[in-house]
Amino acid sequence: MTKIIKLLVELMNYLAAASIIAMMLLTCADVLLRFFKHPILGTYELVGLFGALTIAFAIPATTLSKGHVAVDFIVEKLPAPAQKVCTVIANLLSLSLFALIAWQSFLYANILRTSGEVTLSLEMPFYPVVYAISAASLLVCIVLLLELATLKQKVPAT
Amino acid sequence: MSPCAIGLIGLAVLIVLLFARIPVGFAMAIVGFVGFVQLVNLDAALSLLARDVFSTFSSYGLTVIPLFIFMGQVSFHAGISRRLYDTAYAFIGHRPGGLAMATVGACTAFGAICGSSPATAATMATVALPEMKRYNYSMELATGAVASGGSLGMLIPPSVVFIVYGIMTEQSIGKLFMAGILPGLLIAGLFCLAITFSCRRNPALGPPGPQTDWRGRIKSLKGTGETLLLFILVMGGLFAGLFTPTEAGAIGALCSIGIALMGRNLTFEKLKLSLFETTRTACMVMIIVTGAVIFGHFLAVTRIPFDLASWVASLPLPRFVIMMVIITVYLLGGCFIDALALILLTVPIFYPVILALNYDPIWFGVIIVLVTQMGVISPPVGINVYVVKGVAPEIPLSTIFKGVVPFLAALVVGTILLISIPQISLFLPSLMN
Repeated sequence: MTKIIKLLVELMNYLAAASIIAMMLLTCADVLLRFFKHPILGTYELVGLFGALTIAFAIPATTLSKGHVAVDFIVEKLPAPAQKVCTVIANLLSLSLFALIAWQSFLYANILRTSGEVTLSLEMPFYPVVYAISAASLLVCIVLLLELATLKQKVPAT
Repeated sequence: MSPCAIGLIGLAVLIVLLFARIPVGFAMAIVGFVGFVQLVNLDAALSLLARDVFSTFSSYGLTVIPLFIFMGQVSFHAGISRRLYDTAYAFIGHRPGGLAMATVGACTAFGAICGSSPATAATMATVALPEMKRYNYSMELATGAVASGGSLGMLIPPSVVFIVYGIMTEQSIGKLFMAGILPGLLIAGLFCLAITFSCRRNPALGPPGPQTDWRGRIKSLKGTGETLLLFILVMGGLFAGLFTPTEAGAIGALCSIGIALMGRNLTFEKLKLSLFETTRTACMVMIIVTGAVIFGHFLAVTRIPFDLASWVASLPLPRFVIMMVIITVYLLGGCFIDALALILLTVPIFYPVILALNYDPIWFGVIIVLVTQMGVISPPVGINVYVVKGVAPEIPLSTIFKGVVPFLAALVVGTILLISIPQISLFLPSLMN
């Protein structure tokens, strides 16, 4: 189970990396072609959407590797049990936040799909990217649950 | 309860959550969301949440962040910093404290292609610390120079902090970048003065290194060509108005890959490493930005920023005093919270005040970056100090913090100079249209 989750996290991270490359190449191609008076139509829109994919798909991996900025110098000074309580609270709050984001983004994507909202010049639909944000947030929830589970396992050991 | 009271409770809860080690971006989003529920209603808050996340993630203006981070990461993994250090070393290594000054010089140059201060500190620590150890430098001076020099990257463009500040306040990122150049050089100069001064008082701190002849020096200049090229291309294009910041970042990233490949300094493994480090850092930054957007919507409903601005503007105090109070808040805050998070958290509150007092927003950006830069190297949080500690675990933290003291003094002098002479920051941007 843990393995599958980690695999999914890594897969998403690869997609995030690919989106960065896509953003870079697309923008450079647009600038280059602009000099020959043939800019690529809709570059800004596409780059924005790729940017959204980069960030959304990178959240699970960043969360898994504890890459988010936090203020830890106070918790570090607390005794171990109190530290654990803080970690559990932090984890539960983060979990509720991402559960809300996953749920609301899913609903938002549904709205965007049914109303048929598209980008200005390419007329690309927005909703797939919003579904992607929802899926990534769901995976963040799973990662956080996994952390809670391992935390619980450690209790008898200490 | 009045919206203002709810806002103040929200701020207090936020501080408690931060101290409980909840990631900064998450905490801002949670408080912002719950506060919005309190002040407006649940449905509006829920639908705003999804819309804020999507619109922040997909904002074209913010895509500049991953791209500039990528450029810095590629340069970092391609070993550009090592070559910059070698050049600086060849020129000033033979002076007392020269290797420490070479570190500051290399940090300045590396800051010109990399926007992240911990990355600069980490790379310089691996390059410069062994050299300084070899020439019997005191580890206090050596680690202090690395940690402080690394923080220069925040002022020298491209700087992630300036990008975020520019987007939040709708100021031109190009102008902010320009505004950072002279102050960055000034601080680098002051750092070198601090080193000279320390070494004059106690020559054992930094004994002279070996002298390099002029042939060696000129040969070493070759290593700086790539940095210069990259900087001129990226910043030149941006300042000349040829590209948007995002385009500058994309071109810089692609060129740094090209240059590194031509110099055979980049393997596929290193490229992959740079990419994953980029996704991680970009995500970390963007989560804080998104949290700040959600929190900002809540703050706007409480009207605290506007009330505060009009209240402060009506105070019978000279504006200079109010500025000092704001700077003190940043100084204290910078000791506890990450620089970027602090700026994101406070700018929505203080920015209206600054405008009401008729201060220049570009100049204010430079000043708060400078002040939070002190936080990056001072206890208890000082991230750069921990980065150096991570690279050199055998050196006690207290030694590094002690070593930082002369540099902190230099930063204080620099801040006073920049506050009293705003032209140092504003001259270059005034040349732009």
